[in-house]
Amino acid sequence: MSSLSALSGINRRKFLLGGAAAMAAVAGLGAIPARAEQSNAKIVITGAGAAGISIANRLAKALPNANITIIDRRETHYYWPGLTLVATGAWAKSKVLDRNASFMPSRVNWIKEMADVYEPDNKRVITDTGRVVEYDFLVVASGVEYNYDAIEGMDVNAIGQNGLASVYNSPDAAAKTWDAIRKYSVDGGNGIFTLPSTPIRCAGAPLKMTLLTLDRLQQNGGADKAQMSFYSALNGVFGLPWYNDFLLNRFAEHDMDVKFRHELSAVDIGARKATFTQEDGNQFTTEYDLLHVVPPMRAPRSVRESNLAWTEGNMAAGGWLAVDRDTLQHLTYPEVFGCGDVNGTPRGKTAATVKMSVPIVVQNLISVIAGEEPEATFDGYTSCPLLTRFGAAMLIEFDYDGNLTPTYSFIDPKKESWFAWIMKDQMLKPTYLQMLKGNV
Amino acid sequence: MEGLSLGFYMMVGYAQTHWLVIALFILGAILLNAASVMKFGGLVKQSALKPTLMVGLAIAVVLFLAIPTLSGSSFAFMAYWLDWALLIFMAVGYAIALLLWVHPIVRLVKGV
Ligand SMILES: Cc1cc2nc3c(=O)[nH]c(=O)nc-3n(C[C@H](O)[C@H](O)[C@H](O)COP(=O)(O)OP(=O)(O)OC[C@H]3O[C@@H](n4cnc5c(N)ncnc54)[C@H](O)[C@@H]3O)c2cc1C
Repeated sequence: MSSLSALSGINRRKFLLGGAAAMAAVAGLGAIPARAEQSNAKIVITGAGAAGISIANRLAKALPNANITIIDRRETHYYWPGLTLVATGAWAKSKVLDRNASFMPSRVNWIKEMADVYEPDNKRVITDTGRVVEYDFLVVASGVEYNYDAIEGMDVNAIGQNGLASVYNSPDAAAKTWDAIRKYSVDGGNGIFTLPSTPIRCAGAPLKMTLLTLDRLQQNGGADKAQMSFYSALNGVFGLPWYNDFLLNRFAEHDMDVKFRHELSAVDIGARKATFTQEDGNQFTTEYDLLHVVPPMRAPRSVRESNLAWTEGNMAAGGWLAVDRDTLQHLTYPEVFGCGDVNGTPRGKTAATVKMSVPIVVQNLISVIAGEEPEATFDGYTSCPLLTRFGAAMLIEFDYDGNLTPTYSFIDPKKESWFAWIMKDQMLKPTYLQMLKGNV
Repeated sequence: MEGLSLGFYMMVGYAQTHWLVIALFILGAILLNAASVMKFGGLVKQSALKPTLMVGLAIAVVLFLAIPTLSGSSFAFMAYWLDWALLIFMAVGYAIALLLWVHPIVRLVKGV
């Protein structure tokens, strides 16, 4: 009782603000300007994935009076980086599923609907039930949209049957992909792995799928009966030259057929035939026993069709969010920020990018709330543990310019190691969960 | 500094993920030590130290040999000094932790 009255004796607001400053320090943020700390700004976050939840947690700690709303209907949290391990039989599907409610800060208002229309000129978002949500500040964190429809004849419900595989669509699809890969790894045949021309999330995932399938073929006896191919719609298979060469050498060691500037344009699932369109527009069709489809990706429709999307440049086609690549602030609407895969910035689109960019977005948003210029800058950190086989991996970390930026200088990013495998298999998910809570 | 903080939270996250195993391990250690203290008094007995360390060493050797396979890998892929450092760290670390079980068990078996 006495401590309660003591508490009411001191200025409660000051007490809360002091607590907020401490929490902000814990969250890795610098000093919070008083104007931001006291602000009761309406902050709306669209998307409760890796970026959205992580930002909500950090903002809830840093801004005790802010009115924070998060919009997303999805209640199950997908640990997307684990899907490659599900799709190759190393993890059970249950290991990548969690509940968003377990990570949602209690003082955040969670609207379980989808953002349908962005009206940045009116500072409001309209949801798919027609609810109007007004904001002072907006963080767009709604990830990517898989455009399987761009591949004629593709049906995500058929994943797992007739040799059709695709790790990307969902944890279910990843588990069914393992059904297809397991069969292929025993029976062998013609296996085709694809890479589209659009930006994709985790550019290493299609490569991991290929390398781990090669390993499964060795383990399950199908290697002698298998011919594997990798058809990339780009000029290479990975954006960093050294790794591109490493991968092409690895593919060559397995007598893989590699083709560039070949985009998967159609699939006949029943007949197991895939059609590729070449750069000159010519098409050719080939039969397969296993086809691993990587869908073209773009920003979710609500972003793509809004004033928030790029209208020119190489990010316009996918309707990606038009943010400044350094501050992650929107280029036209200063009260809008973007975080995660939705951003129209070079490279990125990994959970590791989210981990490094969330503190930048939060710091800059707080500056803007305080009426200051956003000064924290993001270097484009992207990371991808490239699983080269079961039991070995490479930890690749790089920035916008493709410079290698290893977190731990004693880890050689060009060496395959068991250490990196342990990181991926054991340590990265716990770290990811800490990121969701706003701790890393 | 950033690397240190990341490493710290990585370990916190790992501990949280495996909280049940850790809780059962601690509970087991408390029960076993309580049983040996109640029966023979004193938390550590000099006469049980040598066999405890021998068993601990044996556990470390077994773990050293088994961890690569248990983690879905193999000795063939351990080509980097860091791999060996991690393997030794894990084998020795788990073995040291297991001493909390081994010592009271040795005492109960030897009756000291
Ligand atoms: C197969 C695969 C393997 C990967 N491997 C790795 C890896 O090894 N390492 C790594 O770092 N990264 C990896 N990633 C990438 C990583 O998972 C993503 O970069 C990360 O999840 C991006 O976070 P996000 O918040 O932007 O998107 P998400 O986590 O997808 O969250 C987006 C959220 O927005 C919601 N949403 C969508 N539209 C709307 C709307 N209109 N209104 C409201 N909400 C909406 C969605 O429901 C979702 O909850 C991988 C991804 C895949 C698919």
